[in-house]
Amino acid sequence: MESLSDTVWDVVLAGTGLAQSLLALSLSRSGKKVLHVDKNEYYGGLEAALSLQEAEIWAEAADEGAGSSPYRHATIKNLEREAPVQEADGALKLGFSRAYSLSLSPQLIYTRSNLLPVLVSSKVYRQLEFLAVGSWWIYENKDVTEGGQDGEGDARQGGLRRIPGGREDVFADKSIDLRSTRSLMRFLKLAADPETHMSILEEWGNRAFPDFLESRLSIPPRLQAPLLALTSSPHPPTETLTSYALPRIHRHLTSIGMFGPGFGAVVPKWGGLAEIAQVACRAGAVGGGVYVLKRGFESAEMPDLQASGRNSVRFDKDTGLSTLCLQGGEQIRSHWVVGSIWDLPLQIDQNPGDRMQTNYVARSITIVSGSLAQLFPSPAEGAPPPAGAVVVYPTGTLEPQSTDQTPGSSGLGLPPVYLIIHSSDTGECPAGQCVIYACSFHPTNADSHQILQVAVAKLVASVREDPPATVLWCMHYDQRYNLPATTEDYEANIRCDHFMNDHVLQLPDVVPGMALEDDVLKHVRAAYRRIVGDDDVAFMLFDDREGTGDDIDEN
Amino acid sequence: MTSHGVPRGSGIQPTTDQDRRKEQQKIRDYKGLVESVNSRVSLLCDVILSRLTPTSIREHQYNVETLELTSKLLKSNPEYFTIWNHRRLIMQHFFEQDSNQTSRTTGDQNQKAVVDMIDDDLAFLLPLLRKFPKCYWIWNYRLWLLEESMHFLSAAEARKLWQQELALAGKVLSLDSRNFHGWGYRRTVVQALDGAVLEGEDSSTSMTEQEFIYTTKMINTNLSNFSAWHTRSKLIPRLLNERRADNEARKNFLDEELELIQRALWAGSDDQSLWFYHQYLMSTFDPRYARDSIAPDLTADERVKYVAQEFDRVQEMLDGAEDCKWIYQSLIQLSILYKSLITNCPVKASSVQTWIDELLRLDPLRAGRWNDLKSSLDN
Repeated sequence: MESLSDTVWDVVLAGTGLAQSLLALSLSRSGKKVLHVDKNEYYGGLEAALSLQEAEIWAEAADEGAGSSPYRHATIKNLEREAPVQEADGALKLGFSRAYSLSLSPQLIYTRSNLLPVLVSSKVYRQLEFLAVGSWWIYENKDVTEGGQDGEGDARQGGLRRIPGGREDVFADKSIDLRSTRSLMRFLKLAADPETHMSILEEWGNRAFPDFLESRLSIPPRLQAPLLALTSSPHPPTETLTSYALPRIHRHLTSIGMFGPGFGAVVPKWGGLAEIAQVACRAGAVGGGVYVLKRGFESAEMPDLQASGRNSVRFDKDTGLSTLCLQGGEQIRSHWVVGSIWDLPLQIDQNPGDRMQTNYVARSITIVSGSLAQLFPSPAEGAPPPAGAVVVYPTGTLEPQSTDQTPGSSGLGLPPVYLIIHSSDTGECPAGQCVIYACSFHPTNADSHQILQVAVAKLVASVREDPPATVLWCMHYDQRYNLPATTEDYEANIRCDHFMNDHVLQLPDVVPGMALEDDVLKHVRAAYRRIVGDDDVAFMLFDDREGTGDDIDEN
Repeated sequence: MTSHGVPRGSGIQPTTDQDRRKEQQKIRDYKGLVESVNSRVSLLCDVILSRLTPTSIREHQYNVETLELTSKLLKSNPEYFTIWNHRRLIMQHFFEQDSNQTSRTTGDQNQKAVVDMIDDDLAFLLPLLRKFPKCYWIWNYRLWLLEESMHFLSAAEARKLWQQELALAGKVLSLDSRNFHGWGYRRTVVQALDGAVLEGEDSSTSMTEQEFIYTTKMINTNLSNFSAWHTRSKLIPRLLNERRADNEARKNFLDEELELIQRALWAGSDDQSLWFYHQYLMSTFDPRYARDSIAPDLTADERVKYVAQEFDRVQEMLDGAEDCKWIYQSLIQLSILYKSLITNCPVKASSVQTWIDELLRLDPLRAGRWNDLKSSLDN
């Protein structure tokens, strides 16, 4: 059998994260020789889904491999183990490890995203199941004047309110006064009509979104918060620009109803984006790709990044081949090398490259007992039962306990906290339990994780459940991610200057946030074009393979 | 806009020679089919006219083959209503055949045969309805079948059939909530189920309450559902009668509906279906229609108060929506009503003229109508 080093590969893919896997899928009918490796022993890379045991191993490794992973400071609390309840049975206690598939990237996919049509045209959609994300909720504090406020800690009771997604929701919410109903409707119509956006953005683009809502549409602050929540902005309201907010709300509103009433986004079953990555890799393998797990690439230890890059991947001008070294010593020759910055043979130190801008996210995954059915009402007549729900804690609804509690301070500068809750229908946990994914773009310090905990605790407390829902297990971690400095120049973003070799391409990180952005696929397509040439008409457009395909009679 | 925003496929126009030839063949096949059916049926009509014995008819073309030919034809063109009539003749013949056999076999067996035939025919119609949900002839034929069923079947059997129809109407409406065929069908089915012929075991409860809740659900899903609002208005008089609502209860009900439509109008003042429903509610205060309205026993004073209240409400809506012609129309109608109820009506004639001018500005294609209105009010 030919060894890996005997073959001259067309493409070597480093890492089985979502982007690389989609690239493998796109090349699966091209007849090209593809070698796809991953340094982990599981698929999915940064977007992987983990069982309980895998999560524990992952958490330990997260701190050791600084430079090979953007994740760090991972801690796990198994509350069930620490304080087991004697009578706990069934859903009230943690199930066995493999009953869980916790996603490191629990993003929702808008029905208008560019990924879904591609999953259909490439025919892999048949191996995937999607579930609806139904309601979006916003947490509101009750009026400060109602309860006591000095030194009583959590005397302020708050509650969840459903965010309207369209005219019928606005109509049904009797707490909105008539004039605001009309203002909200005006905004919803405006947001859904892209032709008006240009002139609005000219005037308001660089100004804060709340100002736009107030001045132009007379929408009161209480109703601004739900609209801001729909933008999934990582910044507090005063720093969220209209140019950021408007297109996102437009995407949200125009996605609702596209695949059925009452929902505008879906999540893949069995573990989020990891499932899509797996299915894509499977297609890559069927197409002749060779898959190797538990092997990464060795990087040369050199004082500066560029020298290190140049030596880790040696380029031969005459043959046009790049040579790199697998862990274990095998030399691999290939025309193209594509990967994420964490999988390419490079030691990422704490100093990011010039073209990147580094940010951090505080994240947590919490398993709770209880189905939290209140969060998953059927959003409309004839709608599919939702398996996902979003809860937003806007700026001002959570304050870290350790900061100075001067009267009147309400944490106005702190970013919002976003929770996405998956029911057991997603296959990520046993029946009768839920998984809560929390994230916040706080400057990561000790407070940020405590804020996530407070948010989850408040959520669990505000949902009526009998017996009351409890937290069984939770994991906190930080994620570092890089935003390419140029936002729409996909060709530029996939260049990787570290290697001084323009046959090495870098697929930018999937940006953490509520929703999967269209950029991911756009970068994949840009890489595909580099590899295949400009004729990318057949990108992800495949016929059914023999033996597969629908046998449905047209009648 | 006959398709509620869903694009209609206009059929592929043949471009290549091969496509053209294929289309020609299709046309030839279709014409052949029509010829075949028509000749068989006309032969049949001659036979009937010449009063041949029943046995002879059976030997001629009133048979399963002809039925199948009509099926084939109707599958490709359900709008050819004459063929539906031919089909009715064939089915009627089959039904009579079976009842003529009562002398030789038991009644039950006959019933079963008829039920099977009707079931088969209903099943034949289902894929047609899916493909052509708005074809009058299919719906009519289906209703005809169900009505025939009432002659030949026991009340219990017939009731079962009609219950299934309710489910069908629900399904059609969940696919397209504004298909007025679906709504009309639903009303007919509900009427039949509530009627004397199909009396169920629990004849004390009628379906009106449940249907009223159904309209609420459909409205909550889509405010612009004209048919849902219309069905609601048809149900209300019956609903209040069944509840044996007294004047107090009727007034409360009216207040709730007025609140509901007001919220809806603020959420969408451009929506014609909402204004139509508003008009329906306003007719409660018009002495000419009061008898059949929600609250027939309102005193004159109460009527005036309601009209004044509604007038103020609509006028408030104008603030911020000065270009909405429906608001002006409503104000004019309310003023006319107001004036007919009370001699010193606070609404000035000049205001009404101003509103008509606004209508002329906003809806110039109907200028004739607005000018007509203007002159009729001047008198």
